[in-house]
Parts: sequence; C-alpha cells; structure tokens
Amino acid sequence: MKEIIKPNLRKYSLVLILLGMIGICSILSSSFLTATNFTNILKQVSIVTICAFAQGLIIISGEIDLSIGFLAGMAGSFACIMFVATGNLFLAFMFGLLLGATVGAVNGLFVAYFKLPSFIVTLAMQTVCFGIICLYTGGQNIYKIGNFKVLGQSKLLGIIPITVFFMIVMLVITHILLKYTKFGRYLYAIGGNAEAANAAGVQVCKMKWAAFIVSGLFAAIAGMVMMGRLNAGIPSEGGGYETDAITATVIGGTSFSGGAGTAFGTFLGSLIIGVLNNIMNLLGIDSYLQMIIKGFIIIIAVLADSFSKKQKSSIKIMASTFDVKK
Amino acid sequence: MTEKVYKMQLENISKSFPGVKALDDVNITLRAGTVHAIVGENGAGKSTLMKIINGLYKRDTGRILLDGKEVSFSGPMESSEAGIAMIYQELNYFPELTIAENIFMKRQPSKAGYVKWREMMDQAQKILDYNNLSYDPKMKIKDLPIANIQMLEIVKAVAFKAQVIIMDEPTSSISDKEVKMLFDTIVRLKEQGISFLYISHKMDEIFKIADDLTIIRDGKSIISGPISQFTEDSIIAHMVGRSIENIYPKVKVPIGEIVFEAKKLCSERTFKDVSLHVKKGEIVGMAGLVGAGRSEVCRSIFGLDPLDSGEITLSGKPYVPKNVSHAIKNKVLMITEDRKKEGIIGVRSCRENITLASHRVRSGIFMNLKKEMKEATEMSDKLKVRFAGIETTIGSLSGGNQQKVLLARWLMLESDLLILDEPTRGIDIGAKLEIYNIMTDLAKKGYAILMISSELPELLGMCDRIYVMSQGYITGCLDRQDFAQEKVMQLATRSEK
Amino acid sequence: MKMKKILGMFLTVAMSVSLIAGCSSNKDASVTSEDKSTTTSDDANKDADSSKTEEASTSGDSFKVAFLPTDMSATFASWLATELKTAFETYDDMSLTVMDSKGELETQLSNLETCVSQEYDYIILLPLEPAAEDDIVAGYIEQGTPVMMINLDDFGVENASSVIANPFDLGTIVAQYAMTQLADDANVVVLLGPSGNTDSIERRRAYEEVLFSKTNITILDEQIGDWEKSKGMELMENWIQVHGDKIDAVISMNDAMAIGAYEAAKAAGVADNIKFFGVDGLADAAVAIDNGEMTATALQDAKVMALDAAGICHEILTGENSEGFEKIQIPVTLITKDNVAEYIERYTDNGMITK
Repeated sequence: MKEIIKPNLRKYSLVLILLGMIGICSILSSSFLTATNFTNILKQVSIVTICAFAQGLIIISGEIDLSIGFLAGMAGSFACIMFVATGNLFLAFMFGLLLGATVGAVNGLFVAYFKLPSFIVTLAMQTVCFGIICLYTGGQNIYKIGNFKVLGQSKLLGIIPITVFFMIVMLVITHILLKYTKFGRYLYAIGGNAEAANAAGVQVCKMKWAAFIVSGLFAAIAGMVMMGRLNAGIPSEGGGYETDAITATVIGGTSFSGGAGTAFGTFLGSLIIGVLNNIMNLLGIDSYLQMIIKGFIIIIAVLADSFSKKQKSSIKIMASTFDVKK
Repeated sequence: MTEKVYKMQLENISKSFPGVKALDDVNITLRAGTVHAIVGENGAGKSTLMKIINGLYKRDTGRILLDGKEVSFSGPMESSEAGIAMIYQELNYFPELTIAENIFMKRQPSKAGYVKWREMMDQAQKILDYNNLSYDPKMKIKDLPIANIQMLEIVKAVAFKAQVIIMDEPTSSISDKEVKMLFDTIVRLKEQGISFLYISHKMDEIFKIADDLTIIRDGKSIISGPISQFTEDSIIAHMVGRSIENIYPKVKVPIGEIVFEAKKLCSERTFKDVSLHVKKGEIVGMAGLVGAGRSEVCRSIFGLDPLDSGEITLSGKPYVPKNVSHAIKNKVLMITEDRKKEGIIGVRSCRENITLASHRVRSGIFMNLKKEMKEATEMSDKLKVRFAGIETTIGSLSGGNQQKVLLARWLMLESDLLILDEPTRGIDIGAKLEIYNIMTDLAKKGYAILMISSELPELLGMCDRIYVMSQGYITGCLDRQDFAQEKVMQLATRSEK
Repeated sequence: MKMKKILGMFLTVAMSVSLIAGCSSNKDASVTSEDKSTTTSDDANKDADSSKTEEASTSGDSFKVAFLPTDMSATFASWLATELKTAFETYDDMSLTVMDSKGELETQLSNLETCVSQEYDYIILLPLEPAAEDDIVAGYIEQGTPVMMINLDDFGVENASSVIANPFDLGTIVAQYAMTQLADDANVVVLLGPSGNTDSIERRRAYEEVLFSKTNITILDEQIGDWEKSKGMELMENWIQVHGDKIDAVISMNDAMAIGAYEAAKAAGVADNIKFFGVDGLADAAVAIDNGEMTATALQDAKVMALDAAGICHEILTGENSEGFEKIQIPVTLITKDNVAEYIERYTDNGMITK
C-alpha cells in the first residue's frame, strides 16, 4: 500500500492546489462553477497541453524542445494548405504528421547524434520552421480552410469539443508511453543519468532521436487542432506555445534536470494555468495586472510543489536510514 | 605528548531528526596536537556530528568545549573564525578561479569593495612558499591534481589560523603517493600544535596516522582510547557490533571450463597485448595501481570504450564488443567503477533501476508491470537490499544498498561473464560482507566473475586467480596458492618493455 | 560606387569559400588556400560580370532604394512589400531592396545603419516604433540620405517624407459606422493590440473620441489580445461566460482578434446577436464580412500607399521635388457588406484569397 501511495503524493499535491484554486474561484465569480465554463477552460488549455506533453517527454529525457510552437504553426498551416488543395482531411492530417516527424527527426539527429545542445538546435529550428511556411505562403495567412475546421471546432457526440477529445487522447497516449512502455522507461533513465543508462545497455542516441520525433508528431497534432480551432492557417499563432508548454510541464512537476515527470502532472499544470487565466478574465482584471498576478501565482505553485517534494524526500531518506539500522 | 589539555571536548551530544535519533550521547575528547580518528559504518552518525561541530546543525543536548570554554556556532563562518576548519570529502573549490582567489575566498584583501589583487597574489605566494608548494598563485585550480587541491585546503585552513582541522575521508580520491604527502603535512602540523579529527574507513591509514580513536555505532560513541589499545579486528568488531572471524567468505567451488577468453587485446593509449581467461565458477581478480589499465580493459570488453584489436571468445564463440546493449545480448555484464556516474539512475526508484536492462519483464515494447514488481521484489529480497520500499529513489540509499540494486539489475539477466569494477568502494564493512557473500553464491551457481579492486586484501581473500597489470600490460597471473601481498605489489610496480 | 560593389562581392565570395574550405579540411591547409585564391577570383569575376549585366538591363545610373518593413511574416508588411516591388518595377531608374526586421527594433536600427553605410539613395521605413527611431532618422537625413516613413509616423522628423494611413483615421471611420449600427446604450467588449503598440493606441483613442465619449455605450471589459486570433477567441469565450447575451458588439483594434471572437461566439451559438468591428481590411476580414460574420473594418490600402510612395520617392531622387520631402495621408476606406465584393475580387486577383 505504502509503495503505491508514495509516488502519487506529489501528484496529489498538484490536485490539491488545483482544487484549492477552483474553490477560491467559485467564490470569486458566480459564472466560474458552470459546465460551459469548464468546457471553455478545457478547450482553451487543450492545445497548449498537447504541446506540453511533447515538451514533457523531451524535458524528461534531459533535453528541451523550443521548436514546438513554430513547428505546430508550420505543420498546421501546411496541413491547411494540403486540405485546401486536395479536400482530403485524412491526407492533410497525415501530411501534417509527416512534417512534424521530419522536423523532429532533424532536431533529434543534431541533438542525439551530433551531440549539439538541444536548446540551440531547436531554437534555430524555430526560425527554420517559420521561414519555410512564410516562404511558401509569402507571409499571408490561409483563409477559407473549409472543413479543416472540424479538427478544432466540431463536437463529438454533440457534447465533447474535439480539441478536448484530442487532448484526452494525447494524455492517454503520453501516459501509456511514459508508464507502460520500455521507451518511456528509457527516457526516464536517460534524463536521470544518461551515462548510467548507456552503461545499462540503453541505446541513448536512438531513444533521444525517437523522443524528438514523437515530440514533433505531437506538435504537429497540436498545430492542426490549433488551425482547426482558429478556422484559418495562421503560422505565427504557433509562436510562444513552446514556453507556455514549458511552464505547464514544470508546474506539473517535471524536473528541469530530467528524469522525472508524468503526463497527469503536466495535464494538471496546464489546467492550473488555464483556470488562472480564466478566472482573471471572468473577473475582468486589468491586462497588465493579469501579467503580474500570473507570474507570481506560477512561482507560488512551483514553490508549494517543490516544498512538499522536499519534505517528502527528506522523510524518505530518514525512513531509509532508519530501516538500514534495524 | 604535550601537556594534558584538551583542545576540544564534545560532551553528551545528542541530535534527533523526525523519526530518527541520529546522535545519542556522543563523547569525544581531542587532545592538542594529535590526530583523533573517528570510525563507524556509513550512517552511524559521523557526518551529522561534523555538521554539529561546525554549526550547520543545532544540537539537541550536550556541550562543545574549545580550549575548555563552551562554544556555540550558528554556522560555518563562525566556527571557522573560532579556528575550526572542515575539509570535506567532496572538496569545495572554484575550478575556474586562481589558486590565490581560492585561498582568499571570502577573505580577499580589499578596499572599498575592490579586491587588492597584488596584495592577494603576494600573500598567496608567501603561503605557498611557506608550505613548499611550487605553484604560481595565478594558476587556475582546475589545472591542479585533486590531491594538491586538498593540500591547498589544508594550507588555507592553517594560514587562517585553524586550530582544529576536521577531515572527512580525505584519501578517498587520491593515490598512495599523495596519501604519503598528506600524512607528512599532517605530522608537520601536529608538531605545530594543530589537532585533527580524522574520519576514515581505511584501517591501515588509521593505524598509520591516528593517536586516538573513537568508534561510533548507531549514533552512539561506543569506545574511545589511544590507538594502541585497538587491533584491526577489534575495530571492525566494534563497528559492526559483532565479532568477525573471517570477513572473506571464500568457498571452494568446482571450476568448470573456460567461459571467457581474450587474446592480445589492445587499445591505442591505455593497454596492450592483454590476454586473460575466466572459467565457470571462478572469481578472477585484476590487481594493479591506479592507471594500470584494468578498468579500461574491462570497459572495452563491455563495449563502453573502444577496442582496437584482439580476439575474444565466449564459450568458444567469437565476440566483438560493439556497444553495451550488444555486450548484454552476448551475456557480458559489468558493474562500473563510478556508481554515481555510470551506475545508478539516482532520481528513479529501485524497481526501475533493477529492471532497467531486463527483457524478462517486458512483452514487446510494453512493460509488464505486475511481473516487474514481482521479480524486482524477489530479487531485492534475495540480495537483502534495505530500503523503505521498492519505490524508494535509489539516490537516497546508502552506497552498499545501491551496489546491491545494481547487482540485482544484472542478476535479472543471464550472464556468461560478470565484471565487477571496485564493487566495494565507499561501502561500509557490513555491506561489504554481504557483497562478498553474494559473490560467493554466484560462483557456486557457476557464474564467471572478473573483479577489479584496489584493496589487495579483498582480492587475496575472494579470488581464485589474480591477474596483475602494470602500465597497460599484464605482468603476471597468480594462483590462489601463490597469493601474497608482496608478490602482487612486485608485479604491479614492474614496468615491462 | 561600382568599384565598391565589385569589391564587396569579391569579399563576400572569398569569405564564404574560405568558410567552406575551412570546414571541409584542415589537414592540407596550404594546398586549400592556394586553391581558394584561384577559385575566389574566378567566381568573383563571374559574379561581377553578371551583376554588371543585370544592372545594365535596368539602367545605366540606377537609384538604390531600400525598404525596411517591420516583419515580413506579418500579413500587412508583406503585402506592402509586394505592392512596393510592383510599383517600383514601373520605374526603370530605381531598384528596390527589402531588408526584414523580423519584428525586432534592434534589427531595424541596424538595417538602417547598413543602408546608410551601403550608400543607398533612399530609405523607405515601415517603422516598428516611430518615436524611438525619429532621432536616428533625422540624423541620417542630415547626413544626406532621405528617408520616408510609410504607414506609421508620429511626425517627429520634420524633413522626412511620410505616406501614411493615419491609425486614428482608421479607428474613426469604423467608429463612425459603429455609431450607426449600435444602440445608444449598447454593451461592448474591447480587444486591444500588444501594450505600447502605436496602432492600437491610436485606433482606441479614435473610438474613445468618436464613439464612447459621445454615447452611453458600456464597456463590459477591455483586454489585451496581442493581435492574435486565438487570444481573441479565448477572451470572448470567457466574456460570453460572464456576460452571456448582454454583449452587443465586439470592438477590436484589428481583424484577427475580431474574427477570433466571432469563432467563439459562433461556437457558443450567440454570434447572430453580436456585431464585430475590426481594423486592417485584409483578405480574412473581407471574407468574414462577405459571409456576414464581421460587420465592418477599415482598410489601409497597401496598393495606394505603395504607388504614392514610389511616386514621391522618384520625384525626390530625380530632383523634381526640390524641397526633398513630402508628407501625404492616403485616404482610408471603410469596408462593409455594401462594398465588400470589390475587395473580394481584388484579393482574389492578387492571390491573397485562393478559390
């Protein structure tokens, strides 16, 4: 029993923070605690959450992917273009995925095999992605994308917004990847200690490469959902998502030094930011004030979380030394 | 001996952390101008005690007397001003700064916030000259060998009027020659009236350098007295709380056919013409001085380092090392020397560390979590790994338990050759014994074990044969009946060709 | 001047070749360097030849004009660049170079510096922050390089030319139309551009003067949407949550945010009761108005702007304009359901709308 609860404690601390926020928010605004508002929050966080899942995988493996936002913008816009040209949604979706995987593979190639710092490689890839799409479109956005918008604006069974559906699917996929596959296990090991992972027979380069490809795929999906929701192909809309994704991941308890983090944590981190943005808008708080409040709340959330983590780990060490003596 | 005045007295020190009594009524008296050794297993409370002395922790009860007067420090700055210097196992220094800057860290001669560089350099030069250290104070610390950095720490402590120097495992990362240099310095400083608290595991060193000894076990000071009252066996008995007849549980097992054979292994820089073999059920040792190339040979066999030429056969079949996963597929396994760097995934659980390389607990790309939990638990029970639970992060375990988890990782797999590089380094005596027992069990089961160790008694006690390396060559192979420390040392210091 | 150009080209080629050579091998350094010197001079000659012919085809003595847009990935800037290129093609004694600032003021300033040191004859500046750039521009004009501020100008430099669609006018024209469309006690929400953005500030000021101060309209909330469609959408979702069907209109300082708000309203099923006002008048807005989604927008017409700019530029360079500068404001146009067909056709022609 003890074994099952312990690793989850950290996750619960985030749940508590979120529940606390929801409690406070429902007192602050009467329109907060309603079904439509919660649907709104979920819709609003869904794209950044998908990006955060991608970022989470990469940060867990000890790297960082700054290309996610612009890659999403590029892959999403190209998928729009493909759809406008062919009218085939499946083909457009696959094309987007292909682009995502390709850019991810290039990132991964330089990071894993050429041993370049991921920060620089993916930062450079940002402008490459944006450049490619702008070169193709001449800086113009893509309008009249017709039925492509079902990827972002339709509802499943008449109630579940498609973006939320995508987010949940990606949550499940990420969770399975991290928890139930050897790929996930290897990512944790590589992020925790790449040399040790190598000495245990983990093919570090291959796994890192794969992680970047997966990240690229996720980013492409986020991009296509984004363009669907916007009902237009707007490459520049992707920019900035990579940093929002980092914030969500880190609030969600993913260690910046790698080796730790969960899909659910990331999801909760994203929700925390989503609820925060939502309540501030519901209350009509001044834009500038919003920036300040948001910054501090993020620091407080991370602080509260790291505090609970520190306490727990010190207890754990105590417990283990105590055990040894017995 | 000087007059009977105590430099420092620790009286009835106790300290509790939530759930654990870390120190329980500890008494230590340090005579002026002597070296007082403190020994104890890992986790016995030595480092807590050190932190209480220099003010990092607050004691619950007890007194600290310095020159007969009660003192109380609120932090390391205060304690160092009072003349107590700490030299930690992990040295604190700034690799990118110069020697002078490191010596004068936080004490820079300055005027209105600006560092007076020339004055600092001159003073540093004086300090170095006085201690016969021929370094330019403008040199960067990172360019010095580790032993000299340690020496600098001592020199620095003395230069700033330290009266008591506390050293935590000072010889854990330096060579024998450097140890001698360190001891010479300690002896010289003793004559100047400086006292030392010396924490160490290494028996031979303690007998060489210490005047007095205190043994700590489970947070209590068990026994104190002049070193002449003790023997190695009695110290160990006090440390582990029971007497040990023979700490090496070597058992004769039937030796089978040759499992692993290497011929003329070469690697451009580090070793040449290395030929060796290991038989089923055999524990084969590799002895040699640091830098003789033992680890490098084994790392090449395991696919961690490149191998330039040579032939290897595994049970008669040729094997060319490519990378670690290839080695594992060919049932060649190795526990590397540096546990922290190349062994454990510190932030992950014991369960994950145990099953990291195991194909048994997977089906295809998916993990079989139930099977994983079952097998990891069984294996850690078998090896008597002590932890709060299998989900405990491995980084929070003691060295001995970490090593057992790493052993468990490889015992989950089939193995033709198991290489252990310094398997008992930095592990306390109790855990060492358990590792020896595991090795014996494995030999009984027919494992072929190749073991590197810098502790000769360990090799002599555990091995069936010992290869000795020197400067990249194998200079000899001894059978058990020919084992003798002198012979090994002779071969280890021989330079061939 | 020509000598310099050839020299510059020679140096560039030499540099890039040495870079490639340096990367590919460092073992036989001596051999490569010999190779390098021969190849570079050959290449340079070739390049110099080709550049000569290129120039000859345009004119014997051509004026070099530089256009420094804000950000070529922004829709309006790239449209303006395209229109300027087209406009300049009709003059055979002027050539146009575009140097992108990628939305960074720092980059724009160094581009300005480059233009002056490269002895461009004329600089057309689409400024990121006119107030911050005034002094520098004034300095360059004094040193003899005439500069034109296009689209945005705070009139801080007396002798700089100026071709702008006044952002205040853009705001005014929509605000006036909004007045006819909204009830006196209507409830509105307002979407702003990035903080400190001159366009956003001026357009908002126009709304204040023309509409808000003259009616009893209530502003339910006002937030920064960073010009982004997704932000407009998100804010609107939340507003609908709080204010429900109280919202009568969305007043947005650009079209993208207004369209984003529309998407949100449509999803919530309240779009039909709300009017959406934007500014910019580009293809997305034209389509939205045509579909009855947006109510009105104001256009700053890049084509008109480009033609006027090229004209003034030519007059100044040829000395036709003896004063050395000219300031004009191009008329702003209101686009509504009534005249949108014209713009749909136009944007379809120039490829901004694909069928």
